[in-house]
Amino acid sequence: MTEVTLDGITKRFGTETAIEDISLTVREGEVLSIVGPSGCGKSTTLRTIAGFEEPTEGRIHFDDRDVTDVRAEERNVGLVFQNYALFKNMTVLENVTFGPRMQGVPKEERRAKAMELLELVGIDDLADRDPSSLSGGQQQRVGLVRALAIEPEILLLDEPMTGLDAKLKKRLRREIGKLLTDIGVTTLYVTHDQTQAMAMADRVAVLNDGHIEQIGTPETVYEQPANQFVANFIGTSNLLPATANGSTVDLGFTTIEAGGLSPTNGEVTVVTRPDDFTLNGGPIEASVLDTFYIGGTVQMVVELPDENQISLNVSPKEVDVSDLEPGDRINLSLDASNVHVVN
Amino acid sequence: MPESANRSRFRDLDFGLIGFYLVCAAVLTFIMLPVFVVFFYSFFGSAVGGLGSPTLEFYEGAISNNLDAIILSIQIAVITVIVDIIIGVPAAYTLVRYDFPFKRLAMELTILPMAIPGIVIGVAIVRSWGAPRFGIDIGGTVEIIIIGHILFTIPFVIQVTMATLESVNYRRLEESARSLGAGWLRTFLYVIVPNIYNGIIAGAIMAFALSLGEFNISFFVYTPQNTTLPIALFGGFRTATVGEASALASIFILLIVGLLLIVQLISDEGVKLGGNV
Amino acid sequence: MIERVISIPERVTVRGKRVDDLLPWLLSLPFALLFLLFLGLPLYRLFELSFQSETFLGHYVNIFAVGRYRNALFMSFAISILVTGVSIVLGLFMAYFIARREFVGKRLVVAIISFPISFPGVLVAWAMIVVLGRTGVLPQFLAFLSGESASTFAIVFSFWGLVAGYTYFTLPRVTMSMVSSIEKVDQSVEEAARSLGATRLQTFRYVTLPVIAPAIASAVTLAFSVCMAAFGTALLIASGVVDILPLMIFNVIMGQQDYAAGAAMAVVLTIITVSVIYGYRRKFGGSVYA
Repeated sequence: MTEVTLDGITKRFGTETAIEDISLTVREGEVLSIVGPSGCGKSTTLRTIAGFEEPTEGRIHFDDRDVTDVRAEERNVGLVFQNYALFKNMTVLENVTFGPRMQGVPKEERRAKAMELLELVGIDDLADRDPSSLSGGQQQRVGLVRALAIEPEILLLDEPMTGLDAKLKKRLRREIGKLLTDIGVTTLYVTHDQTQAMAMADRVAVLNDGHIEQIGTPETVYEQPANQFVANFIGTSNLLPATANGSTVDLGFTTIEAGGLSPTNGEVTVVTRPDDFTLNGGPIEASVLDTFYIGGTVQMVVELPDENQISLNVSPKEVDVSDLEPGDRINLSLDASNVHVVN
Repeated sequence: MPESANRSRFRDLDFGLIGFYLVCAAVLTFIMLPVFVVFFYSFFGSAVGGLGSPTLEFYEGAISNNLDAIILSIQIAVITVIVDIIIGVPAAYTLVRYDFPFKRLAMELTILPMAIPGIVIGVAIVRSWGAPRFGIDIGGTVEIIIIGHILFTIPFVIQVTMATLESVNYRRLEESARSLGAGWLRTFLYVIVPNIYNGIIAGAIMAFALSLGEFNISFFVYTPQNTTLPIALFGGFRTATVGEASALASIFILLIVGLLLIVQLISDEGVKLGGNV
Repeated sequence: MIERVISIPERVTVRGKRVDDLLPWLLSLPFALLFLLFLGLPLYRLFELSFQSETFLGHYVNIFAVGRYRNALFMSFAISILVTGVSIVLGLFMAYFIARREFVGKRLVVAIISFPISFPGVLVAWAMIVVLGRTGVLPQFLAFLSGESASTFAIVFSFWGLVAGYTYFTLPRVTMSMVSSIEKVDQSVEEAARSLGATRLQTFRYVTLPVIAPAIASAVTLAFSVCMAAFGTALLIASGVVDILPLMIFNVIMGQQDYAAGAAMAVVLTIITVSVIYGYRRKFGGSVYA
């Protein structure tokens, strides 16, 4: 198992800066997810680690080895592509044995290894098929197994589930997650889908505009976002302007105890999640703008006294949606224990 | 494979990539150098015995000695293109639009003049039509040269037209026009043709350029009174001075390059790859 | 009243429809006539003529029996195969370069590569003469360097001059015919191979080559048939120096006025080029000239 360290990686294409001064460590056996909007530089980061882009500045280390100048084919990095990138002129088995074959592993040995891996993801019966005759999910598994067959120092997954339907995504997410845990390979998972990132990763790195906004466990980035961007990007949040004053934070319409939030004094932004509000006749007066019944929960958009709009989730058991009309007045309370304050 | 990863290789010394660029540079040089030299010689004459000062006298000589050939070649090319369009476009349409027995065979046959060596077509035509036949006497005329050029160029016009037709969903256009009461001819002229106009123009310019450069067929059917530009080039290369021959070649290259630039501007089809050399 | 209104357009439609149905065919007739009269008939007559010999298939037998003729046929094959091979290898490099690299002036490079496609063979011959001939730049330059006569380095009127000339018109065709195919290769597939440990050469051999093989086959077909059929270039630089089949046809017909023998050679040459091109179309579909 390998620890992968990026040390101040910058990549410019001409005058365009794709990523700027990225430093991060993917710990041994960990699944680190890089998440961010499209064009934030996450693909460039991945391609730099894979050896397809040469960083303009900075070094890359696999454990204590500097691999910055090592060619892609000599880095021993497993890559799983968004479009699978399977070799259409080869069978599934030939796809999986390709890497070991390039490394000079004897035929019998690499076949046995490949079959073992295919069995692990439950598609060993497809070994002799053409990749193009497989479903998207099956192709994705071939792509994954092909990358694992070289026993990579690090596994890089580039948006591996885009284009699959929602149900399949969920199943694959579970399967791949389990597989990665079982094998224990150091993994970097690049995606624009924060749900995927949160579900699969040990830690999440939020990338925006070429630099890292925050790295932390899914819980940390969700509950203690470092800034407004992270708060907005990870999950649904209601960002409310407020004034911090010593131990209290004044939202205008209500005041909450700062408690352990340790805000700096002055203008701050309060991050609340839709679940932080309860519709229980509390002190906050709001008016209903819209309600959406989406099965397990009711999503509501309400307007606060200071004209900020927030969304909140309530249980259909608590509220009869048919009772609520836009314009109705309701009373909310805010559970301050989950609220987070950013500057 | 930690061993190989340890063996840091600097991309600065990537011999494979350097070799790749070297080959590409060599190929580009190989393609460009002769054209540059032809232009150079057209102003300076031969490099043998030192260089004089640049002069336009070779161009004056080339033009005055070959003006007739230049004009005739352009005339032939114009007529060839017009006939190509008039008979080629309807034929391409019919081939694409209608189902009939041996349709595939007929489509395959349209490229036959590209597949048969020009020298064979030239010999065959002069053998069959060099003397009067069926009351038609075209031996030694400009007409027989034009016919040869039409045969040689029309496959290109037909290929481009067929490809363009396939790309514009002509059937829906046609159905809507017909449903509005237009007859076949009006549908064809006012709806189909305007939609494939770019393809036709690109094909026409290609045909013009090919006709201008056609040598292999012309060489067997021309007479000294009907000398085309490539035949004049051939004569010039054998008899004229290096400077004058290069000037004539330069004139030809400029004509062709100008035409092909227009094709590249107006069409994605680009330059077709056949042609007799 | 109503009946009249209906009946008149109907009759017009019926008549119009009949004309309409025939019109496309009528308008295609000139094309059919052109091919029939000026391609079909002449070729048929040439074919017929090639059998007019004292012994059965005499002219065909002679192509293989008479040393000069046989050598011309073999020489044509040899040059075509050599030039095709050289052009494919160099063309692959160039096509890769055009398909894969984004750079300023790319359109210009494409233009430079594609313009020679329209040069007639005699012009290509002249281009070779000014570079490789006695008064050409390279021999002059080498003579200047070495002090020897430029003639020593003038290789244009030889087998190698012919190979250079043929490569000059084949290389651009081959390059341009392979570019779009290489553009279509999914680059992430190549990157997948690299990440699995394949070198650039292995990636090309195992991943890229199988994908672009049909385009290479097309380029081979194009190059070979164009080389076999080429006449203008050879007429100017190889006449009397290197015997190839098209030159032999010219000599036999124009020099010896032996139309029947020339016709047999023309038929053989046609069969070679036509079967190569249509053989490709049958196997891979699509046009060699696209």
